[in-house]
Amino acid sequence: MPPTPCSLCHTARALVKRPKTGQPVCKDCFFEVFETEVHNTIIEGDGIFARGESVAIGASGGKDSTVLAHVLSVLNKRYDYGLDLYLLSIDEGITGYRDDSLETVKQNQVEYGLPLKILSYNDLYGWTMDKIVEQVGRRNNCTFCGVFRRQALDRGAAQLGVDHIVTGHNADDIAETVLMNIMRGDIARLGRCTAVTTQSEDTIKRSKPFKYAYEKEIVMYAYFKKLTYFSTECIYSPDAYRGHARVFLKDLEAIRPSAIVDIIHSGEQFVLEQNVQKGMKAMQTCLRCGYISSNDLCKACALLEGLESGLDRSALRQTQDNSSAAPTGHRTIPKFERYSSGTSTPQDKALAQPTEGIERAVQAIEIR
Amino acid sequence: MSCGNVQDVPEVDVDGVQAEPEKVTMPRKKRVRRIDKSLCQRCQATKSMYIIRNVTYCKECFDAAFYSRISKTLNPALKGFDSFTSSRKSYLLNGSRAPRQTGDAVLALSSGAGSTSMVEMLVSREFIGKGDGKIADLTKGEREVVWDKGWVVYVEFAGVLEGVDDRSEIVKQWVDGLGPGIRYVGLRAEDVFDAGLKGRLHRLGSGLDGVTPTGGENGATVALDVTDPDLPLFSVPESSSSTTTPLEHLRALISSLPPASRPALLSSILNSLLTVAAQTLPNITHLLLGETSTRQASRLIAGTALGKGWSLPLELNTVHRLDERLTRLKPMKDVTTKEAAIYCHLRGLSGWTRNERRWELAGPKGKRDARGKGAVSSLEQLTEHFIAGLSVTHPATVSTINRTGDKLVYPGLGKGNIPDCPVCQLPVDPSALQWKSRTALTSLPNKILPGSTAPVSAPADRADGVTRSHHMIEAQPWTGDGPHDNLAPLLCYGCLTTFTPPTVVSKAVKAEAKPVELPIWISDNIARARKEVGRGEMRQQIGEFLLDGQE
Repeated sequence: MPPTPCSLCHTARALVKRPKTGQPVCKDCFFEVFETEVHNTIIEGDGIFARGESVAIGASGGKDSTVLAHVLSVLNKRYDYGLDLYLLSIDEGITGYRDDSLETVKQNQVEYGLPLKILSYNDLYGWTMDKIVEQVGRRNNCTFCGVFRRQALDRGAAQLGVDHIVTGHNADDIAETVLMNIMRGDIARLGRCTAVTTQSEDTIKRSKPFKYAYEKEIVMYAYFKKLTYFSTECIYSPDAYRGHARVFLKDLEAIRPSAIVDIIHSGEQFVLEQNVQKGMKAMQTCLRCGYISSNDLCKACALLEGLESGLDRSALRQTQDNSSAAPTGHRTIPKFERYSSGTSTPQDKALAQPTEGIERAVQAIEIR
Repeated sequence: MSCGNVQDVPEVDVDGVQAEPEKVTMPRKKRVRRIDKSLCQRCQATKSMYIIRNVTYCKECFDAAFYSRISKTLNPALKGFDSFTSSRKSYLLNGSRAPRQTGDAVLALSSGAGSTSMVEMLVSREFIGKGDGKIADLTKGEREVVWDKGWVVYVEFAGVLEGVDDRSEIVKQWVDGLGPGIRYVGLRAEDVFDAGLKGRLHRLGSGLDGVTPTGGENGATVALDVTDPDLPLFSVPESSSSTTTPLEHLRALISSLPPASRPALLSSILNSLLTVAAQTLPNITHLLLGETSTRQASRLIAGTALGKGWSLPLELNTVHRLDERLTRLKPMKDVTTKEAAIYCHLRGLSGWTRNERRWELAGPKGKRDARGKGAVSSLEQLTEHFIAGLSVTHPATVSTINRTGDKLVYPGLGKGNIPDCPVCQLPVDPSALQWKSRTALTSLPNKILPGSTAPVSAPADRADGVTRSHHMIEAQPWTGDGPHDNLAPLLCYGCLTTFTPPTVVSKAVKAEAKPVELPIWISDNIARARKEVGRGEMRQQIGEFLLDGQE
């Protein structure tokens, strides 16, 4: 059988079939089309980035963040975005999982020459995911991790003095999230989960340059570029509700590969009823830690109070309408102060007027 | 602290002032109300037979609750409701009858539990009259009907579904036994290619003739090349209408699409036939669908997976105005398939109903998918199985999904006149083609060679793996005119995905393929989009004057 020519350049021999389109392509054309699609996502509309922006790449050591760090470095040079890139990693304290993947992040730091910051749950909240799962069980632990990680990323970005966080969320993740939010009736999240950039009042801008990139193509890119990454799923995730959406999505993809982007397209078109939009709470700041919140207490403070009280899964139901101080003996999250950007470099700002260094965070864990 | 013995606390002290009892008792445990599930929780008298949404019902109470749920969905949607005072509205909301409507109703019947229970309930509760125009004498306790006459429309798909029995006769027998006010209209999927359909419906509506189940003349005017991503359109040659039946045309169209796209096409065919019937039969004001909440939840998830987010809120609406005269209603929207099945069982209909559409059996089979699993080839079927499975561990799944759907609104409201998709007849989402081409590049600008042709692969390497079978029309030379225009820019995102060919089409398949003819409703809508008068429409106007043999 004669070799199949590449569908894009029509000259080289095709080495792979693109999962997204089914086209047989050669290696070079695959790299180019993958990078071009990411570039198109970045420059779409007014563009994700502003020239000269400081951007922290949420790095877990997994395939998505490893490829993101590589592609963003390449595109930053090729198209002259003018960005200052950093690596920001969160240690959730999952033995046998996160401790190994952080080694990969340190390798990425060396490979791409990007500054790296690691922030841990233990330092910020006094709890690791291992301890949390031990107390609350394996059914709803992703809620704790997600809430804590979101705040941890913002705090890490504030410490670095950056204005923008990018994460490796890919098309599969976003499609799963759309399905999950429909199935759980989470209207608020459904309205914003397909946005390529999200920003609330007083939180750091977050973007997803891999919004239309298929997970399989990210793996393919890493494979052919010989990028190293840590490849194990979180040990606490199998029982999560998201798992149902993930299995369903994989079955959909097997029937029709374009189902993933089709779901994202649908999610982008969804518009909520005005009554629902008006019913959403206005943003305020948490009375305990100062982080953005729609209630008196942010979700992280509420969850932490539940954990400190020794509650199991019922820690999830801790009220957020509680303006009183934390009970005696409970750990609290340090005050969050968003650093306002100015003309000086992020490092200068951090030295001249520290918001919260990691050392300060450790000292600030008060046990009253 | 005392032991909390309340009797020791004096009610009145030595000065005659009532003493405050100490707060010394332990907090009382919340009493758990024990429910006897062997008794019906509604009437508390009869033995319970069913548990629905954690509430036990006896047969009679289930019947009453079933009717109440449907009438609470149906009544507010019927004309005249808004003119009532609020006290009358609450009276109506409590399940009492809506006022008599000016026209008649079309009831869509698939022979599934939802539509069967809807038809049965509307007839038995005298929502549909005897067709004699009689006004009820309320002083004698007679109940006013809501519609004087009802037309039950059943669409048979057995002609295109391998191994599925034709149930037209069985359905007709049941419908004919429902009463004098109910007329049966039997259609077939291939009638979408039948130019004589509207004429037959007119005659039926006038009481002149029945709807003939087979035959019919092909009225297709436009053909489509499904192997080209631009979907170029061609005029249909005059010779094809005399040699090929509507069924053969439909089979050819279905075979030309990948297996995953066929159920979406069949769904559009069903909607089109129901709409044509409701718009052609005389004096129809309402089209009632028996879609249950379970089916609605599947529709929301499957529609999302098909990329139909833009027009999905219109599809999901309980009430949707199709034109100035006709309104589509879904009275079964708050009833699950399980509840509808129980109702059918109580009426002795459970052996008669068929809930599975089996649309995944349409056309030749595709190859097994990359993971070696070939059992499910339809997004819609996969979604139904998924929701059914998830409902076991998470019982609130269906209701939660539907609540999410209820909170979505159509994004095109107030954005001017948006054209309708010629296939699904719902508004087209803006820039669907551009969105697709931006998110999935199939060419690189610096790599397009001048004069290059479409991508080529080995003859057997077709992405969807559709094998050829006897369903495909034997190759005849294509003699039509064209291409005149492309269909792709006219389609909504969902239909564009349905008709878009696999990115890689083998040379052999491309060489052998010829344009497939499109159903009449699509041809007419394309002509309307181009502001032309379609040949189908012209034929309808002059059809009765054409002599035999004239085209």
